[in-house]
Parts: sequence; structure tokens; C-alpha cells
Amino acid sequence: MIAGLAQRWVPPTLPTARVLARSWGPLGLIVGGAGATMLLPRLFGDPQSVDPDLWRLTAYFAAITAAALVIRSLRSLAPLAFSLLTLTLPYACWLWLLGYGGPAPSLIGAPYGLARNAYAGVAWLLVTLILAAAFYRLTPRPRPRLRIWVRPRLGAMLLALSVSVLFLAVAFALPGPLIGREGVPLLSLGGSAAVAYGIANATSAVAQEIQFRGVLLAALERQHSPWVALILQALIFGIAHIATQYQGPADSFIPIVILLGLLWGWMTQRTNSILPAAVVHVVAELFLLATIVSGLYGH
Amino acid sequence: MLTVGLNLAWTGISAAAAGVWWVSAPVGSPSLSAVASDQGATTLAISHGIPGWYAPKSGEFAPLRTPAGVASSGGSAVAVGAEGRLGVVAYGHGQLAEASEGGAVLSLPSVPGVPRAVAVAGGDPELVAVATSRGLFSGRLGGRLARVASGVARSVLAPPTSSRAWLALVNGRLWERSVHQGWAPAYSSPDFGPETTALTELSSGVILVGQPGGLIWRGDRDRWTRAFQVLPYGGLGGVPTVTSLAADGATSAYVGTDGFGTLLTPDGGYTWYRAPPPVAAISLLATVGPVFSAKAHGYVVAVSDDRVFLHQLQALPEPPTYSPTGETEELVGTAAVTLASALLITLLLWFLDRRQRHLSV
Repeated sequence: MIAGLAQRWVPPTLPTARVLARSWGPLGLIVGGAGATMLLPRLFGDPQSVDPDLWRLTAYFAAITAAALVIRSLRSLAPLAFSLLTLTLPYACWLWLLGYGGPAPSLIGAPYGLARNAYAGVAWLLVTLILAAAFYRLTPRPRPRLRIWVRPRLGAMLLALSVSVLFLAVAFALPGPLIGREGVPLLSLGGSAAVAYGIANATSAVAQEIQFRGVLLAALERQHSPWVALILQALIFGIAHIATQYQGPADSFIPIVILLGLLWGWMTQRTNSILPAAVVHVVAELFLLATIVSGLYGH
Repeated sequence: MLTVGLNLAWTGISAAAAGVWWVSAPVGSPSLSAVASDQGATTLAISHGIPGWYAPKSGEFAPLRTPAGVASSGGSAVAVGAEGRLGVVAYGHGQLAEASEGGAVLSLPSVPGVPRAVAVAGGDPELVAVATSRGLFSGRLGGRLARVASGVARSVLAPPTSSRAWLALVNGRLWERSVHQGWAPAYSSPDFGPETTALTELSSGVILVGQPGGLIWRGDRDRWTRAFQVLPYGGLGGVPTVTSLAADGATSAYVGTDGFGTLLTPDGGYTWYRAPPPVAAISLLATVGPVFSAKAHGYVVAVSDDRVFLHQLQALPEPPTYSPTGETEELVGTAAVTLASALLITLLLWFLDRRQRHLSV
């Protein structure tokens, strides 16, 4: 079945298809359509109800992917559409497993519970890996440079550790109110909560690296220059933080996310592996969880 | 999607929302160094070393007449306690005085050392306890107080409800006096350090202790856990000191810091929110009025170097009843928008492809 799908996925050799894929129009249209899909239902939706926005985006990207597979002339866009689907589907699954937006399965602990956080984080990573593998298998040769399985060299890991240390040093050196840091239930997380939240954040960080610096960057690099792909994935990384359940001060946080996306994307391109960026991202996630999240988000 | 940690504690109180809870005390309000209140309208405070009756809402401060023995020694008031329309004032040299709202001020037997805190509880008999640099002293109001613990005592609390125990910090450890027993060290108490002064008890019985280094402990008779750590201010700024704790209900309490204003826990110390007045350094927190009743309408008083802020506690309104309507229509509409977006974008992509193909030919 996969081979059959791969056959359908193979882009036509028509030069026009490549022209379409390399132009800015398709990406703009797809992202614009995602924005409309995200925002329009809020005009008539009940503000008191749970908005299944991630599922809506997932359905939209799935429909675009399907259309690109069916319409021969659009097939070269299928990897890009599928890479965007890879961003939303795992996250939607994660929210569902956590208990947001509908009845969640009862096998993994109480809704919103600690254990459920850990399981949902692992599920996010697994779904992402499955989609990344599908993306790799279904994309025609030359295969996309997912950089997931590449073992980084020692220098790359030293770079990751150095950036992590620098990140923590800068974050702790900055005055607390500047980054919203005022305190943390750090020591109360010494028990099961620390394990659950730690697993949830670490797995989600790795999953995000696979999603953005693995699949999305690879999809964009097939159609744009490395620098353009780097910038685009960072912008989408930033937009994704607006598009999710984000309710904080976007004006200060989103630029930081975009800069982090640029840094981690650059590290991925330089080291040809997502592992160094994943290390830094995990450190950042745990640091955020442990230190500045509550202040940054006004809590 | 760094939001993973955020979703775990999503129903928070924003700092902006918390900020508007606080209002400045009226113009002319005195600068305060100590505040004590009972569960009624009696509030005693110290301003510039002078004790007096204090009305937070109006800012009025009526100085007490200084007893003769105290006046001759020239000591300043350092601690106050209040209960049932009377107050107890401790002066720097160990003298004690009892003040009633009628205006009478009686000199009480003094205690050794420099008083740090005073607590008084009503009932029959009325009891008073004083924490001083020479130990913890306790006894009937008006009588000579007995030393119940030696060492440096820095804090003492009367029970928030009659069924709870008295609490004190002596040599960095918690001491308690239950309803039917005398003062004794709490066997499960960690060593909080000799400098620790911030202590409060929720009406649920949960005790919170704040070490100056920013570590907040949460405990009860049997078990203590580290609940919260105030983080470093940044760089060489050090860690903001925890200056005070004030419980304002069965599960909620404020922490005062000298760098991050006030922090609030609504659930007995499990979660913490930023709830500061518009100043970063809070030297004193106190609750005034009926804060432990079912319909709390007292105040939390936050004192900085030169300003006083009030947060009026209030019973929350009943949540509105909500009956979802039009769920099916909403679902259909959402699906239609999604489908329409996908179709429209596909058509536009197809049109774009046609146009570019035409141009390339």
C-alpha cells in the first residue's frame, strides 16, 4: 500500500510542477487557508465551548494533502502539505489524550492527571515518528533530509551543550521581571509531578524538533534554498505557538520562539542532525517548566 | 509548541488581573511596620515605632497612649497582637502593654529579650504569647508570662480557629501548643533556619513557612514538603527574600517578597501565582478583619517602604449556569468552513499551476 501511495506521490517530471512548488504562492495560499480555517469558525462558534481548532487544522491539511495526491499537477505540493499535517496531527492527538476537546480514552489515568501528561507526551512523540517515517517513505527520491537518524559528531554535541549552558546562563543572568521569572514550584515537583512533567516536556521537545527541524525543514528545503527554508520553518514555528492554545503576551514571546526556531534550525543544518537542537530544546523546555513559565504567562 | 508546560496549569490568574485587586491605601495612611487584627474590626498597627488603632479602609491611625513605665524607658513598639477588641503591644525593651479600644492602656509584666512577635487569643482565659530574642513566653493575659522555650524565637501565631494550635518558630524549628497541651516542639518540623520569621496557618490546618532564602515549606503535624522556591532575581541580584506570609482562607495565602512583590497560592501551597501590587518590595503582609469566615470580606494589607496596599477579599459570585445551544450547527459550520477552505485553496493552487504552466510555455 505504501509503495502504491509512493507511486502516486512521485511528482510529475513536468517542469511546471517544479515551478509551482518552488514559488511562494502555494505556501502562502496553504498557510492563508489554514488561517481562515482556524479563525473563521470563531466568528460563529460558541465562545464557551471547546474549540477543536487543532483537529480543524489537521482536517484541512489532510484535505490539502489528499487533493495534492489526487490532482496530478499539484502532486509536487504533497510533501509540503503532509509536513504541515505532521505539525498538527500529533499535537491534536496530544490534546485529545490529555482530555481537552472531547472524551479522552480512560486507559491512561485521570483526565488532566500527571500520568496522562507523561503518556500523552510519549504519544505525541510516537505519532510524530510514525508520520515522519511516512513522510520519508512517501517522498520520492531524492529522499528528504530528515536528519533524524544521523548520528551527530562530537563537535555537534559539544555545540549543543555549549548553547544549552549559554541559554541557561543568559536566562538566569537577565533580571527576573524582564523574562517574567518570579518563582517556581520547583521543589514541589520533586515527586511524581517532576517525572510526569519532565517526560511530557522532554518528549514534546524532541517531537517538535522532528516536526519542525526534521520534516518541515526537509520539505521546505526541497522547494527553497536552505536559508529560505530555515527562515520559513522558524516563522511557522512562531505562528504555531500563536495558533495553539497560547494565551500569553504574544508580543514578547513569539519573537523569542522565532529566534529559537532560527537557532535550532541553523544548528540542525550545520550539524546535519536534529539531535543537538533537540538537546538544547529539551533543556529549554525543562528550564521553561521549572523557572519562567508562570511569570511569562502572567501567572 | 513550548506550550506543553503551560497547558498543565492553564486556569491561572493573570498578573494583570491580580494587579487590579490591590488598591493604594488612602492618602495620609501611615507607614507601617507591624499590623495585627482579630477576626473582627480590631486592628492594631505600629507606625514609626508608635502603636495605634488602625482602620485600613480609611487610613485612620489613632496612636495609643504610652504607659508610664514604657514612656520612661523610651522604647518603641515592635510587635502587636489583637483579639476581641483588645490589643497587646510589645516594646523594644521587653515591656508589654494591653490596650482596649476604649482607650485604656495597661502596663503588663515584661518579658526578657527583644520581642519579635506577639499573639493573643480570646476565650477564658485570654492567652498571650511573645516571641523574643531570649525565648518564647506564654501565659494568661495580665499575668507574668512563663518561658516555654529557650533560644531565639522569631514568630508566634494565635490559632486561626479555636480548634487549631498555636504556632511559633523557635531556633528555626516549629513549636506548637494544641488546645489541651502545653507548648512543645513539633516532632515532624524541619529545621527552617534561625532567621526564618514568615509563618502562617490556613484555617484548613495547613502550615506554611517561608525561609528568607525563598523556600516555602508546606506541612501539618505529620509531614512537611518543600512547596515553592522563589527564584533568583537574576545575575548578581540574589534571591528575593521572603518577608512575610499571610493566610486568608482555608486554602489561600499570600507570600510577600522584597523582589517580586506578592505571590498567591489558592490551593494550600501546591500552585502559586503572581499577584503583586505595583511595587516589588513588600516588607509586611497581614490580614485584617474576617478573612476566615465563609463570606470573607476582610482585607489583605501589603506594606512597602513607603506605601500601603489593600486587597479586599470578597465572596466570589455564583458561576453562571450555561446551557450549550446550537452544538450541531456549530459543528456543521466548522466542518463546512474547513472543507470550503481546503476546496478553495485547492482550486487556487490548481489555478496558480495553470497560470504558471501557461507562462512557462
